[in-house]
Amino acid sequence: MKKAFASILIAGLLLFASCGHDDTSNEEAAYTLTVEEVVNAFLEDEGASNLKYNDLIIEVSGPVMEVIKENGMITGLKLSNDEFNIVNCTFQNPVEPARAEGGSVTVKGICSGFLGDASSMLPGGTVELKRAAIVD
Amino acid sequence: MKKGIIIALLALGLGQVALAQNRYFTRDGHVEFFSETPLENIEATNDKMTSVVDFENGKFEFAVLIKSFEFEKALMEEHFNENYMESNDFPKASFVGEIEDFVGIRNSNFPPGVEMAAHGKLTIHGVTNDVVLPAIVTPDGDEYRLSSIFTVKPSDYDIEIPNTVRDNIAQEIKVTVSAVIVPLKK
Repeated sequence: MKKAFASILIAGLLLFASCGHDDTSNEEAAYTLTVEEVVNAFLEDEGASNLKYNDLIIEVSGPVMEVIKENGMITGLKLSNDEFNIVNCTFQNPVEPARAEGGSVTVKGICSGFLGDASSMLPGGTVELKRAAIVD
Repeated sequence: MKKGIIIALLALGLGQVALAQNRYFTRDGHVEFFSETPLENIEATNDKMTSVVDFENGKFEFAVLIKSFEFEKALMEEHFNENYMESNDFPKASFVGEIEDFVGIRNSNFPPGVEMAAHGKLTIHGVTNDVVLPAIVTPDGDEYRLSSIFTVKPSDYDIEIPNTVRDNIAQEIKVTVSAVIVPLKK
């Protein structure tokens, strides 16, 4: 009996350890913002914004600045009107090009934080979202 | 007097534009790392590396958010961030340095296969070490392809690997960096 229980427990642990990621498109966003709002939040107080947004799914709306494609499908988007202060997202699953047309989109993804440094040769900064999905 | 100030301001502005035009950058560079042991191979990728090269003097930098690395397995990504990299406390990794003899190699239009040496400071997990990284720059129209492959020892950056998983994680992690850098226009 004990042996069977141990086997089930080990199998369960192994299964848990090999699990992939949740599908972002099925998850609720913790916050809904515009590109400008989220970028400004990080520019004003990066530490507080890291605590507030990191590891959470956030929904962000804004103009498409750049489309990143691989084999004809969209794998990432940069959103902003300002070339140097942007939201950069990579998609969990490749997206049909038609879904990112129209100038402005809403995406949701897991916030990884803000990459930008006043001492850098690269001006501005980027809020990064991973495993993102387009919100219809 | 006013005219003098305006001319000085214009000269300053034009100088900044000229300075920026000598820089090439990306915000979607690719970084991957690979740990190989007989027990398991672990890899993760990050497609949001920022990098800049100043073509006037060879100054070179790149940076990544640790939380932007993606693993196939959710639990592995969680352990990487919480237990090893402590990414809430040390959210970024970066390199700041200078490519040796960059101007000479640039003037030769980056001969194929020439590997350059980037001397600088690599910061991971809040620890900064002096390193020399290999770098290859290849012209591609108006853009340049940048690549670098190097190894990192977790122990050099105070990254503690628990005994229980010590055999699962390589003592030297292979890091591959690749990017297409374009002119910075600001």
